[in-house]
Amino acid sequence: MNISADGSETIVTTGNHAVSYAVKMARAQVIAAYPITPQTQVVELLSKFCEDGTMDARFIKVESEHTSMASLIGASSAGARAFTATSSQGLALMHEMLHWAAGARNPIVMANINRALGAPWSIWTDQNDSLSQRDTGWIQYYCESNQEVFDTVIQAYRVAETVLVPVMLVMDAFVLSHTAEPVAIPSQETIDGFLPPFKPQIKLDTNAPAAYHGLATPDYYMEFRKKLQDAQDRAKDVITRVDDEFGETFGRKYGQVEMYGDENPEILLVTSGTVTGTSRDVIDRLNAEGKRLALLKMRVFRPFPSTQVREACAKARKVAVLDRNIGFGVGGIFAQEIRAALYGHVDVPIQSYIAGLGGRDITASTIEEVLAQAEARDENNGESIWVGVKE
Amino acid sequence: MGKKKISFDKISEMPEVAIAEGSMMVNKTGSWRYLRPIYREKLAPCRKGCPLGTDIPRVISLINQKEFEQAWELVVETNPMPAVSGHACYHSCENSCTRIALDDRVGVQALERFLADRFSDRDFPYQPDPKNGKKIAVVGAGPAGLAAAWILVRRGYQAEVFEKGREAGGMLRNSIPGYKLSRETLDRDLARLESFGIMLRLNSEIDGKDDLARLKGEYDAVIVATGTIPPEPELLPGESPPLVYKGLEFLEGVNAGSIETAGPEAVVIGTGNTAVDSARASRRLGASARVITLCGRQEMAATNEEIRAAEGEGVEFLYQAEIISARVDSGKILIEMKGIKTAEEGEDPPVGEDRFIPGSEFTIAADTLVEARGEVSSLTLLGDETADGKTVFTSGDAVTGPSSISHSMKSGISAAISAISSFEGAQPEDREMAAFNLMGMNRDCFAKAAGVELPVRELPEGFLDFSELTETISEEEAVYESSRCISCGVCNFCDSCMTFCPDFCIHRTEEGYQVDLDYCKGCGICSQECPRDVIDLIQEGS
Repeated sequence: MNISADGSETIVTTGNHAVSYAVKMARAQVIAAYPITPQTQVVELLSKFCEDGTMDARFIKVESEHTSMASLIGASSAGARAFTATSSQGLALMHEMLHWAAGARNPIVMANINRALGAPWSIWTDQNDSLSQRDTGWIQYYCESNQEVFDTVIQAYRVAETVLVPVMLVMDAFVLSHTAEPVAIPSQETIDGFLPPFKPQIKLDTNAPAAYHGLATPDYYMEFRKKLQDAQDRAKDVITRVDDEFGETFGRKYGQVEMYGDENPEILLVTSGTVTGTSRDVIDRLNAEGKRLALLKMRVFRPFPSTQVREACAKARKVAVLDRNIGFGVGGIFAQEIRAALYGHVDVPIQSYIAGLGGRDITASTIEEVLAQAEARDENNGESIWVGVKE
Repeated sequence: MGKKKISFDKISEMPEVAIAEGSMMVNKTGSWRYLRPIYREKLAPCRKGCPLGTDIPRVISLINQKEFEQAWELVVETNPMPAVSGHACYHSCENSCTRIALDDRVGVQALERFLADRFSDRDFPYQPDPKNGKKIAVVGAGPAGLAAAWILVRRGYQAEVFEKGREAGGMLRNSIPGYKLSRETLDRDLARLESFGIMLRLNSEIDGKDDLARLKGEYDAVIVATGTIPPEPELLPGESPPLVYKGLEFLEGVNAGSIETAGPEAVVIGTGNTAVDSARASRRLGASARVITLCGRQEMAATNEEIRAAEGEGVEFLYQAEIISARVDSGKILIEMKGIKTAEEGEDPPVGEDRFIPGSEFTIAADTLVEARGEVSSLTLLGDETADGKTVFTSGDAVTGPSSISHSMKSGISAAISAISSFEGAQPEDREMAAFNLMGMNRDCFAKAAGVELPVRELPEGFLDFSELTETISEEEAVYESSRCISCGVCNFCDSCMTFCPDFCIHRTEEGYQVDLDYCKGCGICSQECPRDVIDLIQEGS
């Protein structure tokens, strides 16, 4: 343990436990969760905190993820700061309640540890679970390091409670969730200063009984949807503002996207999650050899940071999107989103690469291969290229 | 958020989420319902297993609420001798306890004993109906006769119980050894019955046809509850006490104090509880005791509990032993036996000489031989005067042969009801209840918890006497044990239905729960959540 002058201490911990510590320090009040690999460690430690009094919070054991989210909708509606964590099949089972939480404007924060969906069974990482929840109305952050995981939990509550939209924090199974790294943990006082208690304007109140979220006729339903969309739009500014303020307070900021490497690259490689860290090394090495490469790390996926993506891509000659996911019948999901964002704004060839599904390692050589293919290829036919498939 | 505003022209005026501040009561969601929850109690397995039909789950629920007096009052509603049952009944209620599947039966008998001992000097909480002028004679002051007389008095009849012995109790006093049922316990129940108005005519043997005819003349009806008599000894037909005893005769003598020794070596023949009791009594008289039986341990008529206790007291069981011959030589009985083969699975047992295990001959000696071969009905003593269904009603073991205390009491009660019916017309039957269904139980509500055991009286190593072996549980233990009861099929106001109703339409009233059918959608969650199968769903309109 290493305590620095600002009162933060550095510990070595896994991505999962970085979440647990952050949730503890965010003073979450209700945690409802169902265990699933690779998430279980997150709530295991939190349940211990609840049990031993480290946290002043209620831990609800539930029989399914659907119920864990339903419980949190109740808790959040009653004004409690609520948290859960899940993965893969569990997130899929929660799907209905994810829509509800967003529609009910409950600022719940959830950690989803990216795990591939069955069939066939897999416990290893890919992004199809979280990306399948793209249209549920949740904000999504993809994290690169354990420090970013910790910091994003704290930011997530600020953002969620400001715009009243739930936030999903996403990280790769095992590569991050079970891998230990140094994480600076700020003092409780500074976190309390940054993240004040949740004071909802609308909450269940027995002194002013009301029914929430009842039947909205066609006369009004659309307006409520528009309000959620407006909140997602507002979140773009809020995310940046919160990140900036976090940077001023704690000395670390991440942006919605981050461009890294050559400022006017031949190839701009788009990544998310832990692949970003590996890619930084590859790009540093190849640029040192004279290449002109850059990296675009996608940290926020919803609301989609179209402006920042356009700015970055406008500087590149080619864009290669590395997706650890597959939108069946189309291709890589990030690639599709980026194409949609650029259309009519930036005219640059976009190549889509699929790699690392179901936890297959994306190593430096995988990334080198992607970059080599991107350099050699000029077509822009929209088809995704599968990297490393046995042929 | 605009108060009570329900129409908006601009999105900016609207709240972030849909809120209804007015009442939703106008929406009578009950109209959606096609299934209706109804509270319908079921027959709990323990109550079904109790010959007297005591409402055991409700008794236990009252104990759990520390309403001990009410619990006792409910026991004596159906049971005229709560202390006798609490101490010595074979508790068939416990054998079917649902809780066995989870951990261990609920100690119903221990709880009944707790209540009976707590209120031992209490009279029945009800008074007899006004006298109706009818007089009924009951022959035999055993459990059947006493129970019959209790019902008769309760219903306004004069009941006179004729008992050949000096004291009432019948087999309770004569056959059940004191270590199972103390005389004090028995006397407490008898005193209550007498104070209730049962008239005992002791030392009054009704002997045969003539006496019965006399009773028929003097009384409006006669109930015969004379119990069983032991058969004559088969093995040494010419011999008599103190060498050879009939089973009940031996126990009666021991209980009365007239038999004080069973010699250094006692041998008992028989498979039932009388045989085991005789052996245990012999041990208490200082004799070694062996029980000889043709059957194997599994086929014994005695309860496993009794056999285990006997084994613990040093009684030796010789199973599958066939007696070849017996003779008396210099004051000792010599019994020659051979071992019998066990039948191979799925095959008939070997017969003839083939049934013996070769070389298994052995001989044992006995100072006392008790033949407890199973008692027979005593009705033969009364000839064909019995049970004409009009003025003579029979009951108890006299009809069935040996059964149990509570079966005898039930039989006496049934005979009394028959007699009452002959004067007053058919009596209402007990309400038919559907049996509790295990599938309707919500097992998630019940955690494992060990059952209570009766405290065993401390005795020096190897010492046996005729005092009761066990003690009564404490109030604390009784309340704990009552908390283990699932209350199968019987509502104990746990509020689960009310708690889980998503429409808040179940209300608790003095009479029980009421469902507000204006709003109940018939989702069935109450029925599903009910821990104890009390709520059924029926189709609307059915």
